[in-house]
Amino acid sequence: MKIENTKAQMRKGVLEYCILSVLEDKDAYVAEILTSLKNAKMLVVEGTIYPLLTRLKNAELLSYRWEESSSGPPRKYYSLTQKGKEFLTELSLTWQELQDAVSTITNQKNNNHE
Amino acid sequence: MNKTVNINLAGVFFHIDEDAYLNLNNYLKAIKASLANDSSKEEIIQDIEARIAELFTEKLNNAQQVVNNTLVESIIEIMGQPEDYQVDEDIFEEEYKKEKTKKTPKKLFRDTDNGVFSGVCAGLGHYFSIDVVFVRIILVLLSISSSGIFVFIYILLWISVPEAKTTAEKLLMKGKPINISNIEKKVREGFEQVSEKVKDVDYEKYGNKINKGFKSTTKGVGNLVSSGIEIIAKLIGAFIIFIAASTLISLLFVLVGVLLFNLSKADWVTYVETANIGVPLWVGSLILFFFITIPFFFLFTLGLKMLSKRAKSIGRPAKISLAIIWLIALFSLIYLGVRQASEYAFEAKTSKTISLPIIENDTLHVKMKDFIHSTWHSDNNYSIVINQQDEKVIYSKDIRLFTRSTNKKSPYLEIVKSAKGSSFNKAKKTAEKILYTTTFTENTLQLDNFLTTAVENSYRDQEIDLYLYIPENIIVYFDSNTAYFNEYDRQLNDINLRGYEEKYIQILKHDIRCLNCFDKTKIEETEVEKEKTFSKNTTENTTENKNTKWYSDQLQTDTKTTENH
Repeated sequence: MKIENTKAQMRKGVLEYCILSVLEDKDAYVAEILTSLKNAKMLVVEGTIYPLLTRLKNAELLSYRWEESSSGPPRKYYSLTQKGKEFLTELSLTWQELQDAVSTITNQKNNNHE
Repeated sequence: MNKTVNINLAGVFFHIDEDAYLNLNNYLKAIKASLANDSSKEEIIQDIEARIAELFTEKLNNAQQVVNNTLVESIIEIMGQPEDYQVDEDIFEEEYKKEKTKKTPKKLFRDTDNGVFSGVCAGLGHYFSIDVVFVRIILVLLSISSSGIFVFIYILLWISVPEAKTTAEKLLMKGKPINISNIEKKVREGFEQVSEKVKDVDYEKYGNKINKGFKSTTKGVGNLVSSGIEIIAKLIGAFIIFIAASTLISLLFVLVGVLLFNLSKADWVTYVETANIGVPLWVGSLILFFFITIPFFFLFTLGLKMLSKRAKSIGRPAKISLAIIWLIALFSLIYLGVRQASEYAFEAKTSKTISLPIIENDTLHVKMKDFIHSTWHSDNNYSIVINQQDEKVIYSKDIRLFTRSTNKKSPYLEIVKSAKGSSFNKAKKTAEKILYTTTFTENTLQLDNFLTTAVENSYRDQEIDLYLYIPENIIVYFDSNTAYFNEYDRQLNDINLRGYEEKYIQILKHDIRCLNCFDKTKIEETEVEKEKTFSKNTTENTTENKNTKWYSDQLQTDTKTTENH
């Protein structure tokens, strides 16, 4: 078992939730989503996001519209659908629970060690 | 100076260096290969291309600037390696999982890196996921047993199977997915190999390759020792493959041979066709071929499975259709068998009588006429020969000659032709079509010692029974060539003429009298009689009568021997 793989798995697991969160407040195109994720060090390479976006779109959690760009090709602006919003709310809850659970366990460990 | 290529990425135009273009193209291909094969693949690629185009425009200062390899490399760094595009499928729907676990398809290539001669065995080993050692062992065994046919097949494979030259082909050969990381790994291996070769080049210019083969063989043997049961299973598997494959191949050759001979209408084909199996020979041989080979084919796949767990199954539909073909072949064989048996169900006879007007007190000579012919094929029953009209005919020596006494004035011959068939009428027709000739000239009866019939009439146990009726007291002379055909049935009061060939014989009622028998055995027997007669005669003291007496006694003895036969 490689540490890189585990790390990547962990990131990929929550990436979906992060993408939906980025799109919660405002619609964005890929580069914007990527900037947010990269700034937060959530993403190292960009490649992962494309299949994910397509999946989310296919699952009708996201929709997109085309917008012309002054420089470069037209952009795909993604936005959350109603279904996506509900999905996100549920994920937020789960994430909160998970975070609590994980911190409880890791804290316990730390206490035991001390 | 660099050559540039014009590309269109997501609708935007770019000048790109040729090497940079190749790099980018390979990168996109690798991503394509790494993505799960579903409908959204094209869309994802389009998104990626759009993003790359965006990044290019960001990094280039003006439209005239050319995209170089450094830029492409930096873009790849940003975008990530192909495996980064793979999303952990477990998170998503189950259906994606299935597609992912699908095996990468393999292709058959020659692995010249690991081969001894041409890499055919190594390539086959990769293809069936069998250790190359077993492939070599099987090939050698097959070559020996098939007396070199497999050497020919090996050469055919050598010619027809392409060598795995590019890294992509080498990966495809081993069934590994083609992606950047695998390609990189391969290339690195290649470098190591090259450096190894450079080291070895001094001493082992030609020996190197062979040595390698031995090395991998010993390695394989080493693996053998580690897992005994697996090896035994594999050896049995190899043996099964060996047996099944050699049977399949030899039968295939036989089938091809039969079909070719059938086209050329070889003589033995005619011979087989006279048995009239009800279908053309090629159909019959195909049926028989399928009936025998399909079980062997299944045996072969079983052997493959024993040898390699990864060996591909031929698939359920193929198995079912093979089973159906086998059943059809089985039923066809049963049907043909029953039909063939019914062809012999009925027997019919036709008879014809010829009178033989001989001059009174003259001897009737009986001769058999032989047919000089070249026999193509013959068994106990019949053969195919060319007759005087240059036609192929069925030829049989199923002739029996019975001799009987009659109280009619002149001798006559009854010719009974008999044959079998699926019905009485058919049998009768077949019997009527038997060709048999007899001639009677100058007191000599000449009988054919064979019968013929046209090939299309088929062999249906055609026989000729000859009944020669001879009035009492007529003297007959049987030629020595009748010996083989003389038959008799005591119940029917036939006369036994066996051993009386080339003798003048007087026909009595259900009996004969030999007129010139000087047989050694006969003489011995006669001498015993003579002594008896002598003792009788001495009492009577009539020596003159002795000779006549002796003659009549001798006749009596002959009569006795006839009866005691």
